[in-house]
Amino acid sequence: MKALGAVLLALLLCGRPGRGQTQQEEEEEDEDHRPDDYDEEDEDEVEEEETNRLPGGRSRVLLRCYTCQSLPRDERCNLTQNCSHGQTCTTLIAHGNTESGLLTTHSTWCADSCQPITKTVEGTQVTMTCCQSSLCNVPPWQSSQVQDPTGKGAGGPRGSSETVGTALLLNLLAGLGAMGAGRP
Amino acid sequence: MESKALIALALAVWLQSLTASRGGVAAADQRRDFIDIESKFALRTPEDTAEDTCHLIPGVTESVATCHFNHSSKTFMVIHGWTVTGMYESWVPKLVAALYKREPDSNVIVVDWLSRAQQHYPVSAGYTKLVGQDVARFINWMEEEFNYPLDNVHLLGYSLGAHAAGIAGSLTNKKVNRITGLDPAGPNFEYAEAPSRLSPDDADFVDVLHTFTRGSPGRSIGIQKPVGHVDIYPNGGTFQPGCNIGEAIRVIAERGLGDVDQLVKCSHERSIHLFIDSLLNEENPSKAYRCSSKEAFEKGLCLSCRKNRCNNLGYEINKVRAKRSSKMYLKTRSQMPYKVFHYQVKIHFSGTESETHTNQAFEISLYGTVAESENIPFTLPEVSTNKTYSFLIYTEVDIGELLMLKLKWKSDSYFSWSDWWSSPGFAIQKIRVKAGETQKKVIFCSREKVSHLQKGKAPAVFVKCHDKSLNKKSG
Repeated sequence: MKALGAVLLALLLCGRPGRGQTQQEEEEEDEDHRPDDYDEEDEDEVEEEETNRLPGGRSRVLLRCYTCQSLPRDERCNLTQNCSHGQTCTTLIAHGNTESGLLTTHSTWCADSCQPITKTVEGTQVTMTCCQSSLCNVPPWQSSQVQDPTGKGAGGPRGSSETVGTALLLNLLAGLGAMGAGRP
Repeated sequence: MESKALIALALAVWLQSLTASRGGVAAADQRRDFIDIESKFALRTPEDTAEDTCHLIPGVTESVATCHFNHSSKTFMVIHGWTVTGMYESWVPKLVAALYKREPDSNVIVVDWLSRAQQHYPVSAGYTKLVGQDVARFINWMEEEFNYPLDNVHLLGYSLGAHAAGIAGSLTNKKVNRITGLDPAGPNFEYAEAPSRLSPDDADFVDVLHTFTRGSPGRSIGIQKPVGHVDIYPNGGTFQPGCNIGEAIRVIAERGLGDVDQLVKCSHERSIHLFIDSLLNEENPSKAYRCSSKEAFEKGLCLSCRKNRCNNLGYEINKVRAKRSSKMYLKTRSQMPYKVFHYQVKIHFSGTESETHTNQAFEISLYGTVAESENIPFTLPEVSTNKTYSFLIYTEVDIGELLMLKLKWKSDSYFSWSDWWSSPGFAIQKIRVKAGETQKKVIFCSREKVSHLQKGKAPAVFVKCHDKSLNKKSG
């Protein structure tokens, strides 16, 4: 009986009318009269609010990252943020000559996509790194534990076994969700 | 006796009429039905894109097999425009070749209405009605005779040919799949009612490229008002880069006077070459952005892709049917491949002393993961303290993800007195950039909290300190 119930539930879930996959041709015209010169900051704020409300209302353990813009080498970042699903922590370090001499600055944020790179542009070395554990995006000279000594390359998930576990669980949940909603 | 003979005679006559109607007479009748079709329908081949070697003749069933018409593939019908020479222009084989390159199994038919197209312009313009009727009758015949689905038909009309295509589309039994209007003609059509020109009702989907709309409405070569579901105005639609006199002289020097007809209509014809580009450069379609006006686009305010606000130019367009026509814009290069990369740049100029300058020249350099684009010039009509300015810049190369930005405030000339008593200039903390093609917003920060920008002095450098994808998360 229980098994039957489970099967029924599964069928119900799969059969849930998803959003049609047909090419959306009729266009929603609402909001269209709004001029396009919206202020980007406002829009950012709106979206940031949305960020913490997860689709489906399921509560998930969110990745937390440092979020500071262009701090000099000796300054510590004390701003953090919960990223939205699928984001990674990012650190960008710029090292090069400025009008006030040789300067190293770093910025940190939650990135939608992160491609690690080191490139020297106009005498400034720009290094971008990506990592996926809580508050992992600290510049190498500030990290207490030895993280990624070179500060280069994608630091893999270096979290404790606990975070790995949650990540796995999350993946599983996401997979289940996709199974339910992905059917046309 | 007499009555019997009469019956026999009647029977004989009836029998004869019966056999006759099943034979040649009907075919001849059908042929006579189409006898007044003056336009010719040449099915070109991938091997010979330049010559009309085989004609599909409405009413003549065999002609379709003779020309090896592929019944299971889509059909493109190319309709030319007004011609001074009475000959096909040089773009025709180019477009045919590009269509075959992209869709090797398709049928590319060139509609020949050259005799009607070489009259005085108003006369030829009037003939678009007859040409449209011819094309519609041909398409209807193909459907009735062979069950050829009209959903496989894509009409491509240039200049006057665009309106002929529109009229054809309005007269077919069912709607054809698509009409592409390549800079539809303006004179005699700008103020015409929808039935006598190209309009959105003429096909399941109508897309239009406007490339030469310079001048007052009604006098411009290309129609100015939107006439399709999606109307794209490359470079504002008025005039195209590379079409000025200097360029013309260079082309004549290089290639001789052979292509001189193309030079005269350079901007007009650019619509065709943009479409050819979209057929050949499949993997890199140019993107066009919906905008309320050309001016707003120039300010970079319209680089959004939300809710179908952006679309691909040309063959790979998304069939978006808005309730009202939508105007879309983009910048292009002056030659193939035409694609560029669009950026909105927003700068807030701070300062302790209030300053206002007009018509200031700047240069911006963008450095990315793949390449860089240096010293892109732009002019701000006004720069004032504590104001934010937004403008559009574009690069011809794909520089990848943005990393760094450099901004220079140019002096008025190489040697200018105003540089000596230099003004304090402006302080800039951050520069915001929105990339149209990648739909990313990037914030660039000064490395020293604020950078000082002074006229004629060293450029200010900004490094990426935040980025965000715009098309992430739909719900």
